[in-house]
Amino acid sequence: MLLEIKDVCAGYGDLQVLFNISMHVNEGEVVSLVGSNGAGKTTLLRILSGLEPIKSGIITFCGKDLMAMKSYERADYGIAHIPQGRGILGSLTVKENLVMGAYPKAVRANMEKNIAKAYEMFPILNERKNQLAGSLSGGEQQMLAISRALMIEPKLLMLDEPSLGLAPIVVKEMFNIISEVAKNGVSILIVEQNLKQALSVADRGYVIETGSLVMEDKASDLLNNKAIQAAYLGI
Amino acid sequence: MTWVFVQSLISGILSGGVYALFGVGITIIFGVMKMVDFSACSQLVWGMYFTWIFYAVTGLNCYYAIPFVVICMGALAFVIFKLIVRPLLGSNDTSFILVTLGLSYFLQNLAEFVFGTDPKTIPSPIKTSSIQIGEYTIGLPRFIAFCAMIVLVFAVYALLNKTTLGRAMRATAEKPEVAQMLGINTKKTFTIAFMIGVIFAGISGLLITPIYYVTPTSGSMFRTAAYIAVIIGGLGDIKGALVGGIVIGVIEGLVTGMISNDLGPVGIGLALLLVLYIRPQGFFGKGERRA
Repeated sequence: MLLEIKDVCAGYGDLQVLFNISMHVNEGEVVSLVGSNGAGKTTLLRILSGLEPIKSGIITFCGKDLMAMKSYERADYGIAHIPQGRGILGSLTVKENLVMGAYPKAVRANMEKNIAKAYEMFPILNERKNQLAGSLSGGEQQMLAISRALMIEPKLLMLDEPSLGLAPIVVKEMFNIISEVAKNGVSILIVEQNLKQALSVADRGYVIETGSLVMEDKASDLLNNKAIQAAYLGI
Repeated sequence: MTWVFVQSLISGILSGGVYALFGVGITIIFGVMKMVDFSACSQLVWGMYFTWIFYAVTGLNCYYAIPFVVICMGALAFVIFKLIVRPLLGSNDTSFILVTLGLSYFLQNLAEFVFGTDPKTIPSPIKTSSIQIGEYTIGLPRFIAFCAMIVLVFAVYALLNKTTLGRAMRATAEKPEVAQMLGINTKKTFTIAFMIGVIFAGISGLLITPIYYVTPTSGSMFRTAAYIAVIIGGLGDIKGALVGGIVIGVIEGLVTGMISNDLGPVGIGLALLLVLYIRPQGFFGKGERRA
C-alpha cells in the first residue's frame, strides 16, 4: 500500500473538519475522493502535503510515518500536489516553473530529460517557455501544473479540483491526460466535485460528506449507484 | 548657475547610490517575506561600528573591512531572525512593524551603551580625495559607494534570476505554500533573504563611514529618505529601489545645492506627496494591496 490514512481527525481550532477518515491508495491506482463543497476534501490534501496538522490518527506513506516528515521534505519522498487554482508561479517563466519542479535533489540530474518529456507531452509549453506563466490560459496553466508535478517523478500525484475554472472541453482533455499519466504507473489521488469525470478515470472512489467518508467502492459501481446518482448527478 | 545645477546633480546621483543600496536591502526582505524591516537604519549604524572596530584593530581603511562587516552583519541577522523574526512568521504585519521598530531602538541604544555617544571617525586619505572632471568635482568616497552599489545590485539581480536559490526565493515570495509543495524549505529562504537585507544595510553603513561621523544616531537620515526612496520606487521591486534611491538623492542634492542646505528633507517629502498623489503604487510597484 502506497498511502494509508487511518482514523484521522483534523480541523481548524475548535472547528473539527475531518472525522475518523480511513482510506488508502494502492500503488499504480487512481483514487477519486468526491463530495460537495466544504466536505473537507481540500483539508485532507493539505494535511497530506504538510500544510495542516492532524489532531489524531496515523498516515503512512511507503510504510513511513508521513506526519513526521516536514512539508518541504515530502516532495523528496515523491508526493506531488497540484493545489486548487493550480499553484502556478505567475511571476516566473514557464520554463522556470518546470525547473522549480525539479527542486528536490534526487531529481535534479534528470531535469533536462524531464523537461523534454513535458514539452513532448505539451508542445504549447515549449512554444511559451520564455513567457511568464501568469500569462497562460487556464488550460495551459493546468498543463504546466501537471508537467511541473511530474518533474519530481512522483509516486503519488494529488490533484485538487483539476476541473475548476476550465471549459468543459478542456476538462475532458485534462482527465484524458490524467489517465495517460496513470498508465505510466503514477498513483493518483483526485479530489473533485465533478463526480462524473473524476469517477470515470478512477479505479476506486470514496464519497465524503461533512467530514466523514460515507461510501467506498469501485469507481464504476459508484457511478451506477442509485443513491449517488440521485444526490450528486441529478439523474 | 549651470555649474551649481550640474554639480548638485552629480553629487545627488552619487549620494542616491547609498539610498539605493540600502533600499534594495529593505526591498529583498519585503519582496520575499512581505514584511518591512524598520530596524534597517539601526543595522546600518552597526555596520558603521563594525567598520570602526575593524579600523581600530587593524588601522586599515574601511574598504578592507568589507568581508569582516559581511560576516558580522550576517551573524547579527541570523541571531535576530532566530530570536525575533521567526516566531513572528505567519502572524500579522502589525506585529512585525512593532517588533522591528522596537528592535531599531534597542540596536541604537545598544550601540550607545557599548560605544558611547562621542562621534568616531575613521581617518583615511580617501576621505578628502576627489576626482576632477573639467570644472566638476566628484568626491571619491561617494564615487566608490556608488560603484559598490551598482555591483551589489547586479549581483542580487543575477542571484534572483539565474540561480536555483534565487528562483526558490522568488517562488517563496509569490506562493509560500506552493514553494513548500515543490520541496523548498521556506524558512531557509526567509533566513537567507533576511540576511542579505541586513548585510546590505551594514555595507551601506560601511560605505558612508568616510563621509559621516560614526554615532549611534547616524542612521537617522536614512530613517526617512531611504524609506521614501523605496516607496516612490514601488515597494518590493528591486529596479524601483534603485531608481527611487537615485531620484531621492538627486532631489536632495538639487534642493540643498540650489535652494538651501536645510530644505533637503522638505524636497524629499514633497516628492513623496507628489508620487503618492499621481502614482500611489510607486514607479514600478504593481499596486498590491492586502486588506
